[in-house]
Amino acid sequence: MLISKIHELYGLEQLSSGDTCVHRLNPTAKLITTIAFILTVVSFNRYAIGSLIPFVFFPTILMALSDTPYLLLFKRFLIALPFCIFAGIANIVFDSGVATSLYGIDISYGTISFIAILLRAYLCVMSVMILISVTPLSEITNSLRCLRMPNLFVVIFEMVYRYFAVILDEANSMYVAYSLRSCRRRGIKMNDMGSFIGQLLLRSFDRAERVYSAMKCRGYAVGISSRKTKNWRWPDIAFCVTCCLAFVTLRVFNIKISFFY
Amino acid sequence: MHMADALLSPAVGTTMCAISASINVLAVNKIKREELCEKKIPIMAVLGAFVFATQMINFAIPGTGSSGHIGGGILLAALIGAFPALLSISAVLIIQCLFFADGGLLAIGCNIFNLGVIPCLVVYPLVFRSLVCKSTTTGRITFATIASAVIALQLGAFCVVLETLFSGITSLPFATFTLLMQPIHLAIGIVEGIVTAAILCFVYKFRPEILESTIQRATINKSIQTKWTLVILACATLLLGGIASLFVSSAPDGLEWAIWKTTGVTELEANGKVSEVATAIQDSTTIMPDYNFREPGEGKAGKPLAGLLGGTMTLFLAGACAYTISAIKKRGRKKQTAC
Amino acid sequence: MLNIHDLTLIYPDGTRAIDSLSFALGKNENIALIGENGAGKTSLLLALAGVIEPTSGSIEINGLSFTKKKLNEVRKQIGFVFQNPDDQLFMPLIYDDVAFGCRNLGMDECEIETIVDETLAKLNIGHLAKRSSLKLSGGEKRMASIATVLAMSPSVLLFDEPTAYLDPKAKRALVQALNNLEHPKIIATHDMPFATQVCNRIIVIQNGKIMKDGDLSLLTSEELLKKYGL
Repeated sequence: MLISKIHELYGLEQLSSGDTCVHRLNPTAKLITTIAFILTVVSFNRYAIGSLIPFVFFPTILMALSDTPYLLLFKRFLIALPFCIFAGIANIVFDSGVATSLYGIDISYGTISFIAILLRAYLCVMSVMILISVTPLSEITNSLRCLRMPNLFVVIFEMVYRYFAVILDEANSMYVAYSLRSCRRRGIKMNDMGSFIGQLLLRSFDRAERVYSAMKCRGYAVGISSRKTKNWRWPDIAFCVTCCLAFVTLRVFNIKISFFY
Repeated sequence: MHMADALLSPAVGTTMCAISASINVLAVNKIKREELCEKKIPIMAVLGAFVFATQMINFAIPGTGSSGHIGGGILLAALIGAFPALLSISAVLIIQCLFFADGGLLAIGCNIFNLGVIPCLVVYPLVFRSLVCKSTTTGRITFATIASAVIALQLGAFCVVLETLFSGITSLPFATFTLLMQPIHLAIGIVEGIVTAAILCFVYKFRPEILESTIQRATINKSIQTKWTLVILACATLLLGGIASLFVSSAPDGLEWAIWKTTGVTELEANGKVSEVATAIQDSTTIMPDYNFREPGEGKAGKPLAGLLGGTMTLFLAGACAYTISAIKKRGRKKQTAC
Repeated sequence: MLNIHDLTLIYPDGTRAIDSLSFALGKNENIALIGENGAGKTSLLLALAGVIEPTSGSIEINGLSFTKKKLNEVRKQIGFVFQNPDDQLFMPLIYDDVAFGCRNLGMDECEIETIVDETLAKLNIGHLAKRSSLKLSGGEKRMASIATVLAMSPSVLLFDEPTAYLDPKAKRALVQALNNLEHPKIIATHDMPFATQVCNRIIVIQNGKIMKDGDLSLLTSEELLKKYGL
């Protein structure tokens, strides 16, 4: 149902209001670290399972420190999978040279890269999901302002986030009303789509007009962006620098797992 | 069609982010200079939310059991103009990436380019507007919308193919990948086009002024916009061509080499103390050296087994760390409540 | 405080939403604006808030007349609470929403923080500051939207259907909150018991014209109300 999407959105929002050491970090520090993490993970070649595995520590420890429920985030990861699996399976088909064998079972390069792709996807998706579940949206948008993203764009971004739920709620009641009268058929018939979404669109237009009036009543003008932002404290700098250094070290020295060799 | 981080290389990802970011900044500056700019902000935002919400509504595709949803680029461009539409779509894509894991943070540049820049700034001015501006009728709108939706999606899908191939994570040959992607997106594009056309015709019937004013404004600014379109196209082609010539010749495995080359570090044959130490550490720590897979020879069966064990151990260790932290935290909390 | 003289508003499609309407709002007056659907209540409020420009006639607040140049000063004096709180709460946090108007007035952040805290405390919703408007109940949203307007310290308050979407408990809280505010108010409403609790003057409008103007006793005459479609 449509309404479940709103809950999906709220789920992370709710987590982000927690109060742990990870939540308290400066949002810009978290954002930079996450981007550094993704860039490092993505920079390994496509067979580098061994080099990728140590990176698992980052999301796992952050999740533990911030009391983030693992399953909730893991579900999001599953949503992101299909295209990666498609590409991964293609690798199995097209990259069939035997890389090695384990007890007589041949393991192809394709299989290795398939696993590596899944691992990359896991690491990237989890790091973004954690960022969101430990940082309230308002803090993220403030840090985007700090990073010199145009204020006009940030305002649009904030408002899209805000009105998504409102419009989806409206769409949901229309959808329920529609399906109650359409004998339980799934989805909306193509013929009705134009007027269904068209209606929703015109309502959205009217709503935009009213929101504009409300903003105007309170003296809105483009380009005002004074905000209080969190200052960088020592823990923030320490977190950011330690993590980035760790990523660089892992990458440059290309440390791979080894316990037996 | 949202691309994920896992299939991208840093070079392609950051390049596309730079391209998309600069086009977005251009759009912001253009809108700021326009009259009634502050009135457009809520419209852009609420319609962005609208497109986002409608993407959650699936419609039944006749004759098949499957369902689809609209992309929104062409729809928004037709309703509020090319540059505002681009900003809305970008905002939506960023939210999808952050909250729904739909597309990745690094891939956001690619996604904005494929799903935002192409429909709004390339296809809308070149196809939609030139078909509709002469006379606005329901028939013309329908035809123009379907045509532009199909073309936009074809171009977008082709960009996905290019970006993925340049990243070198997949081993799909170019021809196979293209042959897979284009027909699928042709079908999706036609359906999307029909639905978008139906919506636009509905709007045209009940609130014609919305469409007419956008088309009129676009016609006045036509010369300027076409110029920008050409500039954007040229830049994108140059940059993409640049990446292509860098990477296509050197096949996927050459990619990593290219990255090391550009960052000034070579992994295995580097000289100097740092790299000696690095190699030493590496030698002592490596059990699953990815390059060694390519070299047949000694320890063939031993290495993957050790790697498997090592990998599992690491994962366990990570899990154990997490468990310990949670346990300590729980105990701390219990103590607090007891006090 | 607020003087309306011969106000007329004609929409582009030719509808006469307000038809040469005149009245004045005194210092301690709370006016209930009642009338059937489409009588012109919302249009009148929008014109008073300076959102739509009247076709003819004049509006004056504290001696300041509504002209294009002074529109921003005028808007500072008038607080308009929309019918649907969702239209008015467009920021990620309630705090940002309440601070929005002050930021536009160019105050500095410390000043804004005190104002926001005070305003929220006045309405007993201090705990909502760091919450997102997505998850509030109807009553909380209503209070928050009133706070957004109060933060700009207006001299007149306009309300469009403030009791819409409220349960009886939230309605009682609203009545109490409104009675605590000493601002003169104009409240468009269909809720007669609510009007008697909050207002001391009734204006009945129909087809954009004032049909009756008087005290609360107007509401007791059933026959009269029926006559004006109520």
